[in-house]
Amino acid sequence: MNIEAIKAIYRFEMARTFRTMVQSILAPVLTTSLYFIVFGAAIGSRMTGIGEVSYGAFIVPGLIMLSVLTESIGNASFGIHMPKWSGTIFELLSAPVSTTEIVLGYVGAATTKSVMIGLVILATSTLFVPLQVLHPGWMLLMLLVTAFAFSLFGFMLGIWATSWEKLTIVPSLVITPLAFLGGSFYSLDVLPPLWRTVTLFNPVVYLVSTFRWCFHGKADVNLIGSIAFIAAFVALCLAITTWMIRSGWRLRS
Amino acid sequence: MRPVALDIQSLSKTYKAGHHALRNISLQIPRGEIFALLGPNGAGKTTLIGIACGLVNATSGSIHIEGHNVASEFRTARKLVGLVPQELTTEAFETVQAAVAHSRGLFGLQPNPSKLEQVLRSLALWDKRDTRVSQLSGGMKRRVLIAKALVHEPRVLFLDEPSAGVDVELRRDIWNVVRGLRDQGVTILLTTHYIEEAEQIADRVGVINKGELVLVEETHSLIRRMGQRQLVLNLVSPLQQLPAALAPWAPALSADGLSLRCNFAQDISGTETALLLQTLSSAAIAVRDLQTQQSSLEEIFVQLVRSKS
Ligand SMILES: Nc1ncnc2c1ncn2[C@@H]1O[C@H](COP(=O)(O)OP(=O)(O)OP(=O)(O)O)[C@@H](O)[C@H]1O
Ligand SMILES: [Mg+2]
Repeated sequence: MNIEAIKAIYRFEMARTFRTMVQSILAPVLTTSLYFIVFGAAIGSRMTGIGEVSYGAFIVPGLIMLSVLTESIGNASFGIHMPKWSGTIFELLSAPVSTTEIVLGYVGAATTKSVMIGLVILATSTLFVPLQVLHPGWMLLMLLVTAFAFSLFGFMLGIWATSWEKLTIVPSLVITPLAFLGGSFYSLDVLPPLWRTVTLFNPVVYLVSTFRWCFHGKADVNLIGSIAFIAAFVALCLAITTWMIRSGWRLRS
Repeated sequence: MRPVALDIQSLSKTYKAGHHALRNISLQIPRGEIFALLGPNGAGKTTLIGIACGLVNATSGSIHIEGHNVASEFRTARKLVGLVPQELTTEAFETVQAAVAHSRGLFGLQPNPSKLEQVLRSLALWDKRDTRVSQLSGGMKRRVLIAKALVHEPRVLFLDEPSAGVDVELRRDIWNVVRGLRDQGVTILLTTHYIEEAEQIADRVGVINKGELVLVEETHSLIRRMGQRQLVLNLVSPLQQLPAALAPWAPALSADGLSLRCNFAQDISGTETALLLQTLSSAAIAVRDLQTQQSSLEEIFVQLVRSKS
């Protein structure tokens, strides 16, 4: 294992994050505050709470997941697409590094950033609503695993994309709709039976629901199933990424 | 016989678009040699280096670096390799020092401040170590790329047109560094369009054209073998007709009849010039002055590429 290479890649990527620290942190904080003002205060005051939980508190886990998803994908895909585009990737390709090291370095750094953002949003939300976290250990684990899974997905996307346009098309056409329809802002119970069934095909539902359980102790869907789903998703992404790096698909000519 | 540092066997590359960039290339470079690969644009030089460094997948054939296959034993092989690419591609926002230290880490070596300082100093980058790479001039960026390739102490170094767009001073620095490395037993393969350079620095040259290696030879013997020497004689009065006695030298007379060009094979003995002058004086041709010309690698190269295509 080339530990020094993992450290080098990780440090390099984190340096990029810290260079843009203000935008990186400020943007999600601002977005979250807007969501709270619009959904929590304006709409939420007309909504009855869901179960014993107030609407404001109900949407917190979903909001965090939403940001973690988009930030993970955006950051990890940028991290690998940028050197591919500028040509500096030659150094990575000529270095004695394997898939494990590349993934740990790049995806590890993107995961770190997403977890940081998730925690900042959590902290911001406490300014708007009183919050309880019933299972803080599980909450952190879920945050970490989700950030990793979608950073890995973003990393794949960054290798797959042959242009900047393609890089943004998947997040905006696939991920954003899935995230918004993933039960961040409502309980699945409010949906008519048909839509509820359709929704169960949306993977984000499982993430949000499980994450919400960590906060409020209630989930829309089966917990074990959710964990199995996330594990399967990570395994699939890992397999594809390994194949991409080994074969050099869209990396080596 | 020195051990082979770079062993290329029957290497071919066909790009996806169907272009044959390399055709069945075999080449062995012994440890500690400076080898210059010459060839016109698009000949396949960068492709060859790309395969050796893991940037391009070979279609068939193999490359071994110090005995390690670059595809199946990539970890061991790549650790030994340094690459200075043709294009100036550098990370923009890093400082010189951070960028160079990053390269060392990627190759699995622990930070070594004194090695870093030594490499930066050898390339006159020490004063710029805290400057962002994006703020450097093109020549300085080239220095950074060389520093990045050297900081992990490679055993085989690939320099893809290191002197393109580089001033005299940097060129001198590069060649000093290259010679220093060679003295430490580092094997160097470089490509260049400046043929005098290959002439000065390379132990051997290879000529590649349209993906085929048309020639590999010791630099000096190539010049000796292929090179022609010419003696140009400036005459006192115009010559109307060439004396038959000059025929062995295949003379050519200028239009004004004032300049006579005679050809020698490269391996002439000193007496041949004397013989020519003697022949001239017995033909009552007075010579004002004379000069000799030797064909350079460049001319040989142009000849070779023309004759093969
Ligand atoms: N990624 C690629 N895809 C398809 N064709 C390529 C690719 N890279 C190079 N080629 C083609 O392969 C041939 C050899 O290119 P290469 O870059 O190896 O030449 P070169 O000898 O380095 O030329 P130069 O002196 O201009 O740098 C060229 O015809 C080029 O168009
Ligand atoms: Mg080239």
